[in-house]
Amino acid sequence: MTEEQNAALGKQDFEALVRSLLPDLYRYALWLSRDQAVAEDVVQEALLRAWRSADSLREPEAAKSWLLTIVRRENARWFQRQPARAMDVDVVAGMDEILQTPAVDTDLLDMRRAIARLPRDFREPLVMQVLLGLKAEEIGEVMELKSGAVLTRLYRARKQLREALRKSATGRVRMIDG
Amino acid sequence: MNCLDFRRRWSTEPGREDPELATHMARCGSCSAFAVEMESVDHLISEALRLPVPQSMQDFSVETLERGGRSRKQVTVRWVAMAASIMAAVVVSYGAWRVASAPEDIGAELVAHVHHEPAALLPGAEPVAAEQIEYVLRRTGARLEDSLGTVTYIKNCPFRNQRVAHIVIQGSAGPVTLLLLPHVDVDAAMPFEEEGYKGTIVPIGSGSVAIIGGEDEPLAPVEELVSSAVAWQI
Repeated sequence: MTEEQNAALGKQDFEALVRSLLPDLYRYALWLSRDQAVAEDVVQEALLRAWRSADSLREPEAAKSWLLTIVRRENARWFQRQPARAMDVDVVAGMDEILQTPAVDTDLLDMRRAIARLPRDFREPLVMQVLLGLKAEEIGEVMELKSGAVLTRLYRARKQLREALRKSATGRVRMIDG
Repeated sequence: MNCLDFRRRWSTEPGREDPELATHMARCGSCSAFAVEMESVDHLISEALRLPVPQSMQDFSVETLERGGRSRKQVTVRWVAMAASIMAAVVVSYGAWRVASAPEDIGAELVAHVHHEPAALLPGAEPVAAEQIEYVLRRTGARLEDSLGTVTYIKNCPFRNQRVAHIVIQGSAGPVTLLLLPHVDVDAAMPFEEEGYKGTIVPIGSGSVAIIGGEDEPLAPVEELVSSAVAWQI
């Protein structure tokens, strides 16, 4: 096989890999940044970096973690370059239109808002586990944490979401009753 | 495994395929009920995380990537515009309640809002689905009695402490922004010019619609279109 064929194969493999993961990479970036335009930009830049260093990926089975790590670092770079962001509550309000699209029922919207309000330390491992199907060890590698710490964050994330959902449901019942 | 271990494990890495968890579930009704509840919560979490993905994030090629795709400048400009619009909002909020008596204030505020979301005016945007239009309108107290033509952007936005529909349609000279303002009552059309934009606020029933286009955009046809199409929910 010639060097050109190798390069072509690498490009095709990279494109196939990215196409299979792109929607979830974007969603991961969106849940990290909670800003649609930033998420698109971060993913774009991350993919460019990934393509330029594609030869550093030695184990195909580690491709998902490899791409997530690059997206995560690019997101961090993006925010390092920006002035301090608006208050968290404003960020969540700014994201609200995305959370409401397409038309979703009340429970789902409440859950999306509750996830958006989770501290990032809890939100991020939850997204990696539920959306991207990563195990605690894999999440730990991306986040540079021990598995035990990841599990604690996952536990707290679910606990907070259950409580938030109960509060929302109670509030709705009160509104109906009142 | 005791009940505490079960609940902690299920809350971190849920799954019936884990033999230890499955065994405990089979003999503990309380934990089995807990697991069923958590499965329902996890299903909702999973569904909630799957936010809609824009077209630009659904297809990929290295050629497009290397050509640049989106440029960072777009986002940076948007953030600068956002900061500017926050400043503008602070400045104009002093007179925010004086709607009918100060057209220049509301004109500046409207243009600041347009600057706040420059992505809405990008060329080549796809038409928005009718379902999404209907959904946003319903949430903002508006409805359509006739078509607005091709809508390329619609969003539920905060404006003067209310949620309003921010719409972009295609005019004869470019994109035209509409803000549907059911809570802003004006006696007559209030034209304004601001920062290279030309606009007007037209009365519609007990509310109004702000129309904002480029300097070359003829607004009269849009006024006519809006007047026949926009109504408020009772």
